[in-house]
Amino acid sequence: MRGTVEKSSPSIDRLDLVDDLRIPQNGNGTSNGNGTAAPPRPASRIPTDPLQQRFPTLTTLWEKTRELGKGARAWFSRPKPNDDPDGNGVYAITKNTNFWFNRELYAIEQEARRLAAEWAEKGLPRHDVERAAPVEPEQVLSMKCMELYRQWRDRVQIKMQDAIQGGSAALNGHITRFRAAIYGLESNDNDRRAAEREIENATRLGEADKSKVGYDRIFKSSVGFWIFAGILAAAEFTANFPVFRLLLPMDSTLTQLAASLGEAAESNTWLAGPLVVMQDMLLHFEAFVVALVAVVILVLLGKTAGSSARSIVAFSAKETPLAATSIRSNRRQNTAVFIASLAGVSFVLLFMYSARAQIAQTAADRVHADSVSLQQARAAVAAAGTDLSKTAISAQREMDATRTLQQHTDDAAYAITVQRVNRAILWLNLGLVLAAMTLGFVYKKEELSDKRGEHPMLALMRTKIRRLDSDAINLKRAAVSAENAAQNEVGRIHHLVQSNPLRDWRGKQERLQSVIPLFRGENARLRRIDPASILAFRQPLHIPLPELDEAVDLRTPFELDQLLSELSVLNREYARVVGFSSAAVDSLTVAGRQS
Amino acid sequence: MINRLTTLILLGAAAGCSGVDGSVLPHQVHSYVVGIDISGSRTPAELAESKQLLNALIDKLELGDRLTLVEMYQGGKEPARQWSDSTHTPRNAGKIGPSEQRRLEDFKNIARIQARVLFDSTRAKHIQTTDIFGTLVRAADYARPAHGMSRTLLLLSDMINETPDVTMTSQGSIPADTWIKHLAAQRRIPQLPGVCVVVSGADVSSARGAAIRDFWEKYFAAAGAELPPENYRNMISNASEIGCGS
Repeated sequence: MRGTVEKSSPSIDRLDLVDDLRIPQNGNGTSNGNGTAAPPRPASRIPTDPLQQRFPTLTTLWEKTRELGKGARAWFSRPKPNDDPDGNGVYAITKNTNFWFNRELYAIEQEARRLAAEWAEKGLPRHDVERAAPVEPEQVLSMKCMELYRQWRDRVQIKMQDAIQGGSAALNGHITRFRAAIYGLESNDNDRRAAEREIENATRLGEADKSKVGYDRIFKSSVGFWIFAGILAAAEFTANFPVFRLLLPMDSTLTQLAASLGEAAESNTWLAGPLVVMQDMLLHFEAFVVALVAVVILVLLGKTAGSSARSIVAFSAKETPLAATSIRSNRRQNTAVFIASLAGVSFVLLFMYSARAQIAQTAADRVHADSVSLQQARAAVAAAGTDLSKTAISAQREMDATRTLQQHTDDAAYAITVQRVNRAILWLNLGLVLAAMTLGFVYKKEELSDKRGEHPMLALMRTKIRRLDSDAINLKRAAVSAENAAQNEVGRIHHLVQSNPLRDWRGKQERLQSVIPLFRGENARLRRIDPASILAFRQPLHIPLPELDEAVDLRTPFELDQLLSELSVLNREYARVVGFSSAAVDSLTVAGRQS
Repeated sequence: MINRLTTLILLGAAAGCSGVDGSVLPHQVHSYVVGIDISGSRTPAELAESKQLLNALIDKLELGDRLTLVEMYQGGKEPARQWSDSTHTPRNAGKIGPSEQRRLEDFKNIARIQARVLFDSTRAKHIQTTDIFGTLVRAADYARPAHGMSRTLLLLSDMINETPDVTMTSQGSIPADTWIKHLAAQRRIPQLPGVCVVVSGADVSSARGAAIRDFWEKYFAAAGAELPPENYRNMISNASEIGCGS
């Protein structure tokens, strides 16, 4: 305590209490959340409106509506240019208190005028009667002034102490942000060093890794490859050609010729089999071409799928990270080829399976059509009668139709057999395709060494460093901002502690001392006499308001020293951490300018 | 394009595979002109024998041979029916391909059908006359000389002409030699030079038959044809005997 608040307090036991105690309603003395609160003050002394007494509900509604309107206007209104800015100093804190003091003083003055009028109406105090003590209204007004003076002093002190405590809390928040920014910078620094080590390691690994990226053929013989490919194609062709032969029938002439050739070949003992097969292939030329193309496509697609599969499974980006980009590109392309090849094989096999499944019906339909043709030819022979020329033509047609029917009947029987073993043929086709895939797999070789690039980690780390540098800029900005705010708050707290918020106490006393002369003057004026002629007013009345010590003893928050110490530590930490980050920021700025 | 390729490959296949047949047959090409008489004067047994002989002749046909079937002229309103066809000569001399063999078989089958039509027994009841002379005129047209082809005229008939001009139903009605000379002088005898004539179904045992045979020998001689005595027979059982044997 640097001084006493009240040097002397007058005895007020002779004075009545002016009002009962109530919770403050003007907003200046509400709880501020830090444990200090303005003391309860007397209720407003402004006389209540008569209308309010008659229609309390309407008045309440009106007051609420007016408050709502004020809030809306305050929300949308802007401060006027000539408004006095509050700032965050002593003035901002005491401004509302001064306003409150003036309003309360005005109420006391109004009370003085009312009492003066009431006493004047009754001719009191009698002008010719001398009083030893002040008249009763003067006593009441004196007590009210003393109460107002005491409340103003307490309110200023509490407001200031609250502001100091709030500044301490704000300082704590700024220090917390400052610490977080420093920790962030330190973490950023560590991450950046780790990224640089990663880059260094990756670069060293890339320079040291000269291993081959590729693979060689498992089956190395080109002659053997083509022999196996030919065998596969021949087997596939032999298995599927009969189906196409039945699907693409010849005309009757070729059918007859095929039959004649077949019969002629029968005389060649053990060569009859291959000769008949060869003749059959050549005579069914369309089927031969289609079957050959289908088989070649199957073998080619199978071999391509196998080669692509080798590329897909042989390379690994994890095993050779320097060629990861080339490997991924190569894998994408080979995956597309592999999928397309498998789809092509699937479609061809599906077509052949479906065709074989319907081949018996197709052959039967053909036999039926041939039977109809034969019946028509026989009918033509019968219709020819004894006409020799017509008979010859009809007979020739009948013989041709008979032979065609016989051929197609044989085909139908063969088709039924093929349809019965359709699934087995499918398995055979799949096996041959898998064999082609295996052949393509073992015959594939590839080399990606010349396509090796930098380690993929390098790009990632560079990106990470750029991000860390950007984060460092923001963190440094946040740290500087928090540190500045903390320093400002420290200065404000010191300013508030060392301020003299009660230095205006004499002015306040003078304002309060003017209440009694106001009462006396108003009373005499209403009675149309000179106040000096009233004996009770001859004795001047001085309200015993105490003198105040301008140097109010405002308490410094007990945690302030700890906060200042922590701020000092953080400043040192920041100076340590910001060294690297500043360099990074500077280099980044230079790089940004160059780019 | 595919059709052309197919044709080329088939031709190649046919050419390549024809060698496996081994049908080497450098025979002389024959032209057979067969006159078929189903008149009422012939018995069903005779008609059956003639039909059998014709089928045997058909079976004996080779590639390049020509067969002409001529119904004996009836002298009525209906014209005599005729059918003439041949198989193509082999593309390679001495080699018969499968297709050629098949065509030959088809030809023979058609020829048998035509023979069956011509030997229709129901039709024989309606035939009242037999114009052998008119048939020979038509046969001469079919048997025109051709290079490298032997010609044979096979007459499946009883050789009894029954037309208003000449009726050989009795021995006395058979024309004399002067009639033949008269026709020859007027060049009304068909020319069959070098044609081998074979008769099957004639009556060779009766006197009338002998007279008729003599008449036809002179007539064919006047026509320039060759009719050896052994070719004028009542029945020929072996088709290989159809010919002049020289």
